Amino acid sequence: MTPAELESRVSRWLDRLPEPEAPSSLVPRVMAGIERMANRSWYQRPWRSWPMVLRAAGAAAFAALFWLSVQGLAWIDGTGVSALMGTAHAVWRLVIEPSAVYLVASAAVMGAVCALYCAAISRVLLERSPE
Amino acid sequence: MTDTSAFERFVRRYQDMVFGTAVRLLGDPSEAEDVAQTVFLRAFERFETLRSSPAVGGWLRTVATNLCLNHLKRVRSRYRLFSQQRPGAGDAGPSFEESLASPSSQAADLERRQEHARLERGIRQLPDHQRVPLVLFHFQDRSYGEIAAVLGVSLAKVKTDIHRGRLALRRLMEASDDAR
Repeated sequence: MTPAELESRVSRWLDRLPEPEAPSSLVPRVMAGIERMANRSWYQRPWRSWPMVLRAAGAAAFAALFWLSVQGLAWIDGTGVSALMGTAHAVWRLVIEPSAVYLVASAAVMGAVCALYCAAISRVLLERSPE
Repeated sequence: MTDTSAFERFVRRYQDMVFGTAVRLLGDPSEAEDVAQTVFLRAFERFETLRSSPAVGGWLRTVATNLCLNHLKRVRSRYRLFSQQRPGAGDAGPSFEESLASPSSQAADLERRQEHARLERGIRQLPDHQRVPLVLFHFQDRSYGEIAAVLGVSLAKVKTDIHRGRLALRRLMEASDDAR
């Protein structure tokens, strides 16, 4: 039997299959879930279903937080950031740069070992499924 | 305010389609029921829009399919790493009811229902990597390319897995024909 013949044969079988019937417990479960959703407090619901006043308050609080973050970044710019960059540069020159080759080589070897290990695990546990 | 009795009618109307999509993709009725419940809870949140949409069936099927694929990727792959392999299609013998029934004494209707049950069971017993692309191809009319894109695997793997799934189903059906 060719693959095309097999495809049409299996298609014929599957086309005749009726939709599986849902269990009788599904509708009660869904309706109970809806009741639970309706009884949630406002803060447990998605933001778009909050009362209008709370939505406006939430949006204002978010905008204020954003504004404060921007102001804070502007305040430390020039002092805090430049000191941080200086420290990072010193650490790079003294610690990372001299051993960069060894670090990259070690990372490559460890990556290869991990990839081999994962491939072996997948082959043994996941792909070994009966036909 | 959403009318809950209208939503209940909506659930009753589409429950077989949603559950059928989920159970064929997941191969597990209890997991499929969980997914179907989640699909309908999401539908409830936008029921006012969905109830008048002509594409509601497609929306429900798409959400069910996406939830099933996420479930298979995130939940079951972790679980299966530490669990036993599932038995293959055709490994399971006939059910108790089938072993009692003598085909010659059954009406054609009963025989057809038994064949459907065998096929459904065969689909559920396929390993995930064969069942999912086979269901997407045969029940959702997706092309090989679409399936490869959705599952994030190569086109060749999709074709091979679907072919192997079909072979397993054929073996199952032929074995049951021979047993008569």
